Amino acid sequence: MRDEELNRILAEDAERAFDDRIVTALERKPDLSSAIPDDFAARVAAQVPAKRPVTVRATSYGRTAMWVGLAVSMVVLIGITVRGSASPAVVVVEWTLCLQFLAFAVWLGVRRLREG
Amino acid sequence: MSEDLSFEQVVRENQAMVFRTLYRLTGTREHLEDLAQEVFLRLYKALPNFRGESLVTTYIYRIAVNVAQNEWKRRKRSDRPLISISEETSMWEDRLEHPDRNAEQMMEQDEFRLCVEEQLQELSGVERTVLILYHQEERSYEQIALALSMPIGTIRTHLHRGRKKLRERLQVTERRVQCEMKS
Repeated sequence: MRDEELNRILAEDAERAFDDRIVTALERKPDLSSAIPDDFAARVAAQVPAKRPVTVRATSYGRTAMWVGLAVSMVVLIGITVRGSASPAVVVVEWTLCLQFLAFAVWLGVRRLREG
Repeated sequence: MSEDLSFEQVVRENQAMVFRTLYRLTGTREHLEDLAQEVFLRLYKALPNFRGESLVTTYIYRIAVNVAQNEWKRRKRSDRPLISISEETSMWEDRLEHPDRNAEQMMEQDEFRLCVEEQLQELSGVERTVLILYHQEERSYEQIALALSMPIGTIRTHLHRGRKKLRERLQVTERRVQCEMKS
């Protein structure tokens, strides 16, 4: 009975020691310093594509549209005034166009002030 | 990480880790430099999508594991035999590093280590990866789970299973060596 117990303890100890040897072997980091070229990092960084410079071209589509709008509303306003109709519908259209014309003018004026 | 200079620093800081992980995952020094280069180039491409939720190292481990997996597939396709680590490693180099240690003991340790390396290559890819990340790289379960996109429970299972398989195979090898020595 004692021998059995002793054998069991010895077997357990041996197994534990064997596991420790495996873990030690696994934990040992392979030394690869000789396998890594000195300039490895520089070479990898050189392979990275160079960043393209970002170019931004200023456009003036909005301003052109505003000038066109201003011109069109002025022409229509003159046209309506020359015809001289007094119907309420025409008056409403006339006032709307007037407001639109003013809005265009203010927008362009503010923009010009900001640009100096 | 917006400048190339910092990318070079990232490479320099992590190159040793990438080389040794790839070495153990693939089991050979062959193409190691090319594979490591691929890891870092993939990292660079992936950096704009990196949201800093995990460590860069965890991200690098994930890429290294993917690159190693591709290498395993490539080898399977070309049916190239694996070059054993033991054929490439010079034990003399190691022994010369520690001249004060008992030579016989050192040789025994080295032989056992090489056995472990060889048997490691016989495990499944995921078991090998988990064992390497846990023991060699000292990563936590959480970090391994993040790197491999697997639940922590699965990582634990693979680690336990991998260690068990490794132990059983090494015991068989040891018994065989002992029998050969007796006869």
